[in-house]
Amino acid sequence: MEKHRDGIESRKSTIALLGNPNVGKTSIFNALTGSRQVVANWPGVTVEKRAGVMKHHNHTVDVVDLPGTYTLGATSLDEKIARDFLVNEKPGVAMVIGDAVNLERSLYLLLQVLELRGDVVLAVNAVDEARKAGFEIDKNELSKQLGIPVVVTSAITGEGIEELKNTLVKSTKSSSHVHYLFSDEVEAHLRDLSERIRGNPSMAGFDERWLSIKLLERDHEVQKITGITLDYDFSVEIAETRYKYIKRILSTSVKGKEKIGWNFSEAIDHVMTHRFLGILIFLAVMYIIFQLTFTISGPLSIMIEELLGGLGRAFGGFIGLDWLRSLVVDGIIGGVGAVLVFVPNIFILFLALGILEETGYLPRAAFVIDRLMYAMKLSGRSFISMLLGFGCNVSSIMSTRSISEPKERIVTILVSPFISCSARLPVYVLIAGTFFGARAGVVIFFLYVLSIVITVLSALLINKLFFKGEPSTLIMELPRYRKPRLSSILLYTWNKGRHFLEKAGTIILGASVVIWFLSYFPSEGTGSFAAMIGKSLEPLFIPLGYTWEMITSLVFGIAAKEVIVSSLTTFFGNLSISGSSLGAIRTLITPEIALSFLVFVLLYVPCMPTLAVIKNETGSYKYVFFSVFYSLAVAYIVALIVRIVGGLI
Amino acid sequence: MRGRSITFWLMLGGVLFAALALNSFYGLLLTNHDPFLAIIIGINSSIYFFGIAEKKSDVRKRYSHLLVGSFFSYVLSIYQVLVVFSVWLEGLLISSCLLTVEILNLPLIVSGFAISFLFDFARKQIETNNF
Amino acid sequence: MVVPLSRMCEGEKGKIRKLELPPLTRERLCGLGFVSGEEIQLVKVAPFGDPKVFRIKGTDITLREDISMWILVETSSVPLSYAANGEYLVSIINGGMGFRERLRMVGIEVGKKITVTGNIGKRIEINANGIRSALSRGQAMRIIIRER
Repeated sequence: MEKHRDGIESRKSTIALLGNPNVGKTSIFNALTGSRQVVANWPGVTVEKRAGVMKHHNHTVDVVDLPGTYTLGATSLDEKIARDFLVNEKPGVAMVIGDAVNLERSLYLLLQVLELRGDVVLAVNAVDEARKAGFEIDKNELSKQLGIPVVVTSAITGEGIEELKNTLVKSTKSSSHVHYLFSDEVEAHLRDLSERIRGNPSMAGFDERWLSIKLLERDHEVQKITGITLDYDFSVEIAETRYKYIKRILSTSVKGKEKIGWNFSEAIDHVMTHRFLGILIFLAVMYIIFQLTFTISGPLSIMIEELLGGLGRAFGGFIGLDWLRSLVVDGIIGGVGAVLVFVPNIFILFLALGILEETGYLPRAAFVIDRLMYAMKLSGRSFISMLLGFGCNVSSIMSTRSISEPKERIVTILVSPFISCSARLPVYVLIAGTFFGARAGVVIFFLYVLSIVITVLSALLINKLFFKGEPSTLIMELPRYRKPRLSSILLYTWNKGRHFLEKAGTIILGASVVIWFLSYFPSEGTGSFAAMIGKSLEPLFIPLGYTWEMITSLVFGIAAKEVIVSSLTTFFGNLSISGSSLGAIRTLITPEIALSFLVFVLLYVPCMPTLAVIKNETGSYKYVFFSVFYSLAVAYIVALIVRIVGGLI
Repeated sequence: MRGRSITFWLMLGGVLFAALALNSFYGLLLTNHDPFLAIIIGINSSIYFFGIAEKKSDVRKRYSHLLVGSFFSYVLSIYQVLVVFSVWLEGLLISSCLLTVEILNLPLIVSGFAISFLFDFARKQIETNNF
Repeated sequence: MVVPLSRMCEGEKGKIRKLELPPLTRERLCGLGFVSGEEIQLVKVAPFGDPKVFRIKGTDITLREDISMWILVETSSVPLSYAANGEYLVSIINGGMGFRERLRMVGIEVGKKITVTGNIGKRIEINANGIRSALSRGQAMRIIIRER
């Protein structure tokens, strides 16, 4: 091993965390920063960025959690972000977190980091699990072989965290890094390339050897930066050399005999991925989650409604001005209340999802139903997101964060609004109940089936439209099962839930005020701007046969689909002659128009919070517009077909 | 480990939860009629039964069925407790008690907690024996 | 024998020989440990036959056939339906008594030598100790053979 000087300046005050996915990087990050952390997005993309501050013995250091990666190539978005951060931001310390049970693979990433820079610390995590499995890691030997500080930790038991903090804070500016030698032929190429690069003044900020290695691996980014593209490809050889070196290191630093026979995870997996039981268990888990969400959030939502009602009355009590009172009570509190009522639902859903993810079950679920999803050019992971859509489209779209394939992610996001969410159910119940009486159940069932059919067809269509119909790649790790930590789950739930509140909340607040304005002025109800809009749109809807009241409710429904119910009752309530406020419309609207209306409600424009989240998660308005127009088109066409066909029956 | 005692526990779990499933399906004893829950309980029961279907010599596979089955039963109990809690809470809000004995589904709760002890037993067996 | 990864038997181990995949995919797999000479094991098959879980360097990775069929491995056992012409030894028969009996009648038994004389279309032609027979793919999938 040689020591090699480089000229890279480092900013001392930042620590970057790297590591394979599932090694416990987040837990270590939490242990270092406590609650002093901020979750945002890396600029321009929708990958989560976690940054925080570590305070230890009068030192204050910034900590950045880079996305989990297996290598520092440029093949995936996560890798690009991690690598760009190291190269451009030049953090003072790069800490690689490895998995004591799978040290070989963790070291592969470590070597790539060492090729790039110095000031690296290795934390070998999950050392308690390694011990249980029969290994013992000699950290001093490891440290000697690698030439960098090595700490063994266990994020669960807390072992080694103190020492880790000490090491990080102590990290001296030794801007030397260690590297190992490749074969003679490769080394010769490296020498030549380094010469060429050294001569180029624009490459002064980079380490030539690292650039040369990357060129031999045909790394696209590096080829672009250096302007050099080679004919030969040594990536396979380079990879093999690294692994050979790793094996040598491990042979002296890791002792102990591996247990034969199953470990805990394998035992669980035998049933979880069982030929028959696998899917059954998955369905059971989904059922339990859904039931719990609806059952528990029920009373909690009622509590919130009462609180808001009380608040409304309180405010209403001492505001004299009619319009101001209406604005505050109906517009603001009413509108925002529509979102807040959702909150228990969303939080519990994310709590459940968090538990599934923390324990490690999610990849198994995706594995078990993958085959079915493949037909839709998606993967098992999307299925879970889509299932969440039956509760609320917003949560389903937000949960697509963990889908690693960008194409698949976008298709899943764009298709989610067609999944019949719980907000549409009140509309179904009301209309179906009024028009179809005893058959209402059948009608609602039909709507759900239609929802699934359109979702599947849209997935295929959108994939073809945007991505030329290529299926996504599946390379998914099944990590060990682990006992979920309450603090991690709560933190996860809080982050996701808060995100929802911020995004949906602000948009809905704005939309509520606007809608309130439109329906209050110039005169409430049938004389309002909203009614005018409805009446002016009526000609467009003649083929469908909707009245202006229905159209206006649809317009309001864009804020949140439950609003359709209250709008309808408001409008038609004024016309009621007999008991039921909707009895009157039976004369205006025939059953097939009612059915077509239901279909329209199911398929048309996603509600405001959903649109907001689509913009957020895809990062562009292009998809938002597509979503709006596509869904309107689909809704109109299908509703029309239903009306025509229904008229014939 | 003796193959026969695992068979006993698997049989016990399977039959017990099959009975609970039928109980929920028909709403027989201290339970409401809930066909969907019955299916879920039935799935739990089948975890145990599939364990018996494994070859007798494959001890580790049988233990894994016991492990997962008992954990699932435990989860079902917790689920039921949470459901009861929310019904109680709802009743509190509308100022009337919505709880009935049937809603409690005591048979499920008790069975689930009782059989959950097997989880620790199975886990210890797996971790200390090299099957 | 060298076969695509997608044709390994459940539970069997093999050694990676070659990755005939586009560079981007190859690099991703490389970081996970998919290099020449590395040992890989088929751990589990999903309910519908795909995807499959493989164990490499101590980690379980899920792959679909669209990738696993381009990874060549050297392994000792393979289902009969994937065997090229040649001589083999029958190592496992997955089936009930009836199935085994029918096979025994045409000379195919665990531990016995058999020769594959044709493997095209829907049938696989076998010569076992002079007795000629033709098996369907479904039947051949349940017979695991090893090289002599």
